Amino acid sequence: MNIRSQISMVFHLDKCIGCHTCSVACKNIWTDRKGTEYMWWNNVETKPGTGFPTKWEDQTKYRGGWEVRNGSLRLKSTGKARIIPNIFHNPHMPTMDDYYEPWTYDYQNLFNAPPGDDQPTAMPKSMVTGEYIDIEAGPNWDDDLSGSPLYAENDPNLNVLSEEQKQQLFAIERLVMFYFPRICNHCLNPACVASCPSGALYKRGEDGIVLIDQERCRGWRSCVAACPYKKTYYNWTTGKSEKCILCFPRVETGQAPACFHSCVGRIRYLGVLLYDADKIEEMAKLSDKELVNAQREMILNPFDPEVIAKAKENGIHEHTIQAAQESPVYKFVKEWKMALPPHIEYRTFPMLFYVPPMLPVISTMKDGMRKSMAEGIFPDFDQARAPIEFLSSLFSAGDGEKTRYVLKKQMAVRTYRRAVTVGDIDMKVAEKMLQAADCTIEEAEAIYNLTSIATLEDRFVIPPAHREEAIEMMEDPLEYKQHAGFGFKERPARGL
Amino acid sequence: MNSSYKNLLIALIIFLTANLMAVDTAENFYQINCKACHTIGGGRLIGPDLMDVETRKDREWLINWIEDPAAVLASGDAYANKIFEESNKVPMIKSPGITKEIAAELLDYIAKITSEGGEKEVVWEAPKFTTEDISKGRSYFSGSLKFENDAPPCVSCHTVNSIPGLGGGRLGVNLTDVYQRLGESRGLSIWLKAPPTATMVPIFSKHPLNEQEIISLMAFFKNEVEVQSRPQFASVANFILYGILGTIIFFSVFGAIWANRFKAVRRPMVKGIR
Repeated sequence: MNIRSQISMVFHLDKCIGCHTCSVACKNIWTDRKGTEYMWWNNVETKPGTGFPTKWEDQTKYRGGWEVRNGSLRLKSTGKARIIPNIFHNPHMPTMDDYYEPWTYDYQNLFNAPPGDDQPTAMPKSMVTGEYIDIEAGPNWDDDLSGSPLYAENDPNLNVLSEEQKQQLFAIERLVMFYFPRICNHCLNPACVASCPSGALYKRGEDGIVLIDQERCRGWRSCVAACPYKKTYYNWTTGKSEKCILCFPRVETGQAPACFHSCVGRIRYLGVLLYDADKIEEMAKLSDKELVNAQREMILNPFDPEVIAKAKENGIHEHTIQAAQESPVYKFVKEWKMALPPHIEYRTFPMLFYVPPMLPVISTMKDGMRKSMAEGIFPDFDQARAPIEFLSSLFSAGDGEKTRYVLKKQMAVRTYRRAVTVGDIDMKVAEKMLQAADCTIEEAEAIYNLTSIATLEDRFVIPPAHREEAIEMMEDPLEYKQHAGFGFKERPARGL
Repeated sequence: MNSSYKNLLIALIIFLTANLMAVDTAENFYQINCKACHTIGGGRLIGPDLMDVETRKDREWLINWIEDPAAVLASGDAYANKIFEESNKVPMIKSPGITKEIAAELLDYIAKITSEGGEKEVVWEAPKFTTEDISKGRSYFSGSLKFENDAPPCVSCHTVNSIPGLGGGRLGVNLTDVYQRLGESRGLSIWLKAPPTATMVPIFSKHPLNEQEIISLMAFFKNEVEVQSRPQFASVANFILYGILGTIIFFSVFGAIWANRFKAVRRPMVKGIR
């Protein structure tokens, strides 16, 4: 057993309102420099939709992630034979148009335009070339199903649906959508790290954050091609690639990353998971449908004395173990089995999990009144507007049972709470539902607490980084104790 | 491992001895650099007989001439041009590493031999060439037959008119009439024993040709003069043609393999719907 700790995440999609506050918070902090205008380390997509960059989930086009060939795990994008003929130009990368050409507006024209018959306008201007452009697409062009005959219908996840299901999905008054915020998944088996010919990418030992060393990056862009989630980006000014850093300077000082902290719907949870790194390769070779369980199996119980002992042996700090025990992510993923990894069939083992959304509450009218509660507030999932296959294609590698399990549990908890607070549902019915959903009353209360009334401290359980201890590995602080604030920043040439 | 050390050692020895030879004495210098074209009292080869050379021109002129013949020739010196004409328009070569001091020593050496009555006359017997020699010479020239001491084949730098296709190398001169130009079998054989030009010395001092190879090559060159094939303009045209053809093939293969390198995802998707 080789136990490591990972700061992991849960996004509760049932709570996401698609306000893009997370994206804007991230952009303001990290990516409004020259060359990064087009990057959205955090973005919010509308599903069904093609996302950003366009159709990133279509790996026949982008060849991201891993595949099992001849019993071994290989990158789809860059085998040894593939990398040489494509060394200067990888054809399976998003073009600028697949992201979008970033633009600003010529605001000065509003003030400086000469007198004329018409109102002056602020024309869009490319932030890459500085020329005036016609805007053809943006990072969120398909937001709220805009342009859906084009964008929503090309969602790669719809391929699993039958023609009839597709038509139903897009029928007027049945149209359905939900939001899908995405950041780097800080995967356990990151394809970007494996693909880098310069060895510039690495996964931090202490918390599993995946980073690109800006000194070592040589701009090969292998990571851009290899990441199946397209979450590494090439900075066209510096000639190096960049990606989400999970706001590690904030995390190290005990604050949640900016996108987490600013989330209006409070959909985001952050916490430590302990996992067994020895199992990654073996698990990543399993078949698609086994992967979700395999990942759960790799995540270890932080209360197990054996796990604790082994973790300490591996240098994991006591406080990190403590944080793992309080981790909301552990509860969602392992205890309640409510959070599922996005597209685990890419075999990178993403460590960002999603609670699939309850879609949507159908309200039917009968004689001018809402249908009676006796039939239940929530309809059968199989009649939900968004087919369960669609959600499963996103979150459980096509295994409908896993998604159904989560939705059932969510619904049982809601029904139970309705019985408690409103009382228009018989508690016995509620309890029966809970039982059918593999949930106890205590668990239902815990789920309700963490979902609806959790505080900042409940949602973000950040282990102390103990940088003060880390520095002891490099130098002895006591050596400087007597300097009392005096010392040399640079040692004199004569020596000291 | 062992053999590579051995090779290194051999290379080192050759390097050292070659250097020693080069700087040793005026006599050695004469043997390496002058003998291919000149004799002292042995009659004219490519260049004039050097017996009594100092009676023909004064020492200062001769030193300048030996040190940089091209410059003297270019200055329009009448005597220098006369020598050039007499030598089938083969210009006097600037010897590698020559200085005014060495030139003076050379002249001393020539004077010494002159006072001894010239070099001992070597009776030159023109070899008889067989047709086998000619074909062997052609093979040596084109590189299909390897030289014993690993010298590079002539064709890598030189060409002759009779070579078909793209022709030979164009770095060195065309050797079609070399047999005539360098004084037939006598001059050519001495030349081939130790080619004296600045480009050839470093190569052939380490990888000399043997007796049999020289005879084959001479037979081949003699045959070239006799056959008198015309310079093949076609070979130049071929060269350009093959070049263009190769480029087209290269780019079409390139274009075929990486056909979809500029194909984006969003644009074709949008186009498909409109």
